[in-house]
Amino acid sequence: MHTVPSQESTRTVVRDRSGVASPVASPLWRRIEPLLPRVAKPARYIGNEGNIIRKEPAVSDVRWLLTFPDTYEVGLPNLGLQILYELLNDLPDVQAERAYAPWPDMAAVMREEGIPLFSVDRHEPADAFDVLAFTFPSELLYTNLLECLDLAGVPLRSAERADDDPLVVAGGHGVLNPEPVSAFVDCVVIGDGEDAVVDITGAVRAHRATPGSTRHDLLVRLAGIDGVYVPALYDVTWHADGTVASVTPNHPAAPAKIDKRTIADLDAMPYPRRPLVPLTEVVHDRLNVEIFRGCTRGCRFCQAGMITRPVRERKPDTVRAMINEGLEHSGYDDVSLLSLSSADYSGIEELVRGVIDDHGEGKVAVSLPSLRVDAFTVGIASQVQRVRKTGLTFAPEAGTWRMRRVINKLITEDDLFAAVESAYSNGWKRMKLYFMVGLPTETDEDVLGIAELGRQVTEIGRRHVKGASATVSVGGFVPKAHTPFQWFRQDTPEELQGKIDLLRQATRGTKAQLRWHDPSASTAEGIVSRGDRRVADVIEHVWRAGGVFQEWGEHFSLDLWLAALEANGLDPAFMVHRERGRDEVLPWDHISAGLHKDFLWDDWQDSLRAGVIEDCRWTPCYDCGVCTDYGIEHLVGSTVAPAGGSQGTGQNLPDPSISRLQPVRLSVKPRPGVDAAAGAGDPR
Amino acid sequence: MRVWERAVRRAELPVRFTEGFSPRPRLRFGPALPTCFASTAEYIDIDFADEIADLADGPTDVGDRLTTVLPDGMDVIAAIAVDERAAALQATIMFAEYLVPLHRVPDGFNVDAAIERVLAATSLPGTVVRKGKEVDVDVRPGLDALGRFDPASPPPRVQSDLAAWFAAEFADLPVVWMRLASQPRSVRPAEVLAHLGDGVAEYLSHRTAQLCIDDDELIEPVAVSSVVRPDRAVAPSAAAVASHDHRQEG
Repeated sequence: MHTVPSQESTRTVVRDRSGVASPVASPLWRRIEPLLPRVAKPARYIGNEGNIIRKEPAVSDVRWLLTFPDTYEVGLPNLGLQILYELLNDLPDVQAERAYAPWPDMAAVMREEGIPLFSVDRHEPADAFDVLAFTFPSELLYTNLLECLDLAGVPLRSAERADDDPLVVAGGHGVLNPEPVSAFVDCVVIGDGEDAVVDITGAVRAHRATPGSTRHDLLVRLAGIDGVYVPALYDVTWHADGTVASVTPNHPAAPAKIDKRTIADLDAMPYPRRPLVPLTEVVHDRLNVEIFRGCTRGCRFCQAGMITRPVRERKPDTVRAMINEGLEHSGYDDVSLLSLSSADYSGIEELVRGVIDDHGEGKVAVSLPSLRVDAFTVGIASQVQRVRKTGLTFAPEAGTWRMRRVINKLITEDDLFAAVESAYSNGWKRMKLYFMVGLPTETDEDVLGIAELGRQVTEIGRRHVKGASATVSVGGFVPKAHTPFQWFRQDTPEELQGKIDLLRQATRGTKAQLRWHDPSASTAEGIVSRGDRRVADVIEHVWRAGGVFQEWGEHFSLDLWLAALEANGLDPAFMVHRERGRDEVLPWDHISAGLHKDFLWDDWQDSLRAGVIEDCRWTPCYDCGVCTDYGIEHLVGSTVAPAGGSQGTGQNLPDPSISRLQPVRLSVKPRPGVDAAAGAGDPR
Repeated sequence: MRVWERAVRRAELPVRFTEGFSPRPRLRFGPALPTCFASTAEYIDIDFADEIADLADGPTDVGDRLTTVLPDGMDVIAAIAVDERAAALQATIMFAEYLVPLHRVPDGFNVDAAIERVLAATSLPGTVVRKGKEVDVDVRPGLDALGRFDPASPPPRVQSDLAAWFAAEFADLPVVWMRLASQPRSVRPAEVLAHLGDGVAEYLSHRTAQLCIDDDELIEPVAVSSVVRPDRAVAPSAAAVASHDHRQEG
């Protein structure tokens, strides 16, 4: 598993200002460099970013290759990868480098010339590493996992790997239902990765130090780590109708349920300290600082909000120190405060004011992605977003108040109109509004409501700005595991297209410009999002047919996926367009994001009646299961909701009492009508 | 460009910023280096808000501070003060010189004969892509000099250490040296290679110089600017900075 680094010094050592290691060209780099004129965007493959860590590996090191299974431009800014890169390299006896999926032109050249998947830091071949770790922000990247493994020269399936093959690890939101990729990975990290990677490193080291320890012994060792799922140690059985009958451990070391890892105190891990600064253009090319993790707004479609609970804020002093240090070491003049809903940070206004004051007016731009839809939020944004006041994006997600109650995205029309009014009057000229179609209980009226909101927004705009316009962007909803909508029957591409056509007609002649995502991509995403282990063969079939970079329109093909399903005796109607029953064993039931299945089911049933649920950060606990089971709590600076905050805080919501989910004071009392101890729900 | 903006910010140099809503450091670049080329002859003008003389060691200090914060493989080789009214690099640079190892040469390729043939031609028809359309051009007027690279007697402005490195690195490949026009359009080495032989490709080429014309002499931009007469005011001043090696060294 280990390659002693070459001592052959082949190039002039340029400089050694970091004191870490001299950038001596690897033998592999000497073969890669001459190929670069033959491919598009060669800067993707050279590394050499600002704050790169070139740690000379020692034989005793556990070496990680952190791989992002999408392009360099998308992967470089990925915060999760940058956190683990720095954290692992800070540890003694650990060395970490990065790799990104090569674009098909480069992959073809690499295969032609016999170049394996390589790290961009020191241009080392993938098989020089002990651990190949992949992060999955989304599920459509699964075929790129196979592309990377194949280029790395590592057997695709866990069962086929020999003792000296690298360990293949996956993590990220996109593997909270790990079953579709379970055949390809040796283990999966469920939840926050910061502690888990340290434990995995320890397991690899212990394995190495144990004479005669086999690959299977290592897997057993890994299964003992909290939040680490080892698929090979579980057996799945199916009913005759194709639904899962059981998922059971086949080894005593494997727990029946794998609970996610959760970092209780983000302040203890202020990473990344030295952000990577690329030489070429990438997405989100600015300083990205995570101000809190988790969200309890309770939007029912949102997997990220469900699986990252509870809310854990960083202290304002920590955030400011991270920003100041990050700006100093990067040369950026633009910082983005990241979270799932940054305006919800306690004292967000004071925080951004503090950042501006630290650097002087006009020197640093602060941006708040994931803007909450209300005037208060726009007010903050207008103070700090000094650059390029061209566009502002809001996500009302659905066209009518009824529909927004169903998905629990509690934005009233008044919230939206006030936000838009504030934005146009503060100088923004274009609004972008995000919506979904294909939501539960959706009617034509709900769909047409999207066009109506778009029309009203442009009318507000024209009172302030000549030529004001709004883009209405529509995507097809894909239900995700660990959300209340995990039982929902997803719309077919034809149904989604019908709704889009309805909107095309309704927006014709208005100033609202309609944009929509390919409805067929939603079906492919559905296959991989809620699939079971049989989907592994589908993924491999798609990859063998050339289906890489399926997130990219120019490479995506639903026909590939449908052919792959058919070849494996599976059917999209069953896999995707089917409502699941309460008693059905879901393929991911043995994976826990902390949310009780009963809680999710009750929330699902409430949603069908348009019953709403408030944010438990500022209201009593609903006992979703996370805080009570894991013995952790929200870590927020303020126990009251922000003034003027939308989405059901500080407002009198019409008819909130519909919800069957009644608040409880922490976990001591079960929900009324629910026998929590027996785990049985109320009668249907 | 982003790399330089960030470096200027990190070096905390008193540069002048552009006006407007989103101020940026005022940086003016010379002719672009073709992708995947290395170079030891790139130039940039940086406008300063204050006297560079106020900095500890003047322009040298500017160069050192930038080198510290630039990515590995990009070093400031020299920095000098120039008159702020000096003509833009884009306008004054007339020629560029390259060392080009030849890759994928045909069987029985004779580099000396090929060079002779190209130099003897009165026109060298080629095409370039302009705004997405192929346009016919004649490469010959833009080809000012072409010769085989001989490390024993390096071409002008190729320093002996670079010559030695090239000789060792590309021992098994023929290497040519050429001087191409930067005006009225920048001719690329690949346009000349197409005439040396079928399928001949460049391989890790290197730009070794960019040149202006002063009194019928070829002269490097740093040398031109150094001719600024002392009676001319140099405040607020600009520093012309020769830099670099774009190719990654590790």
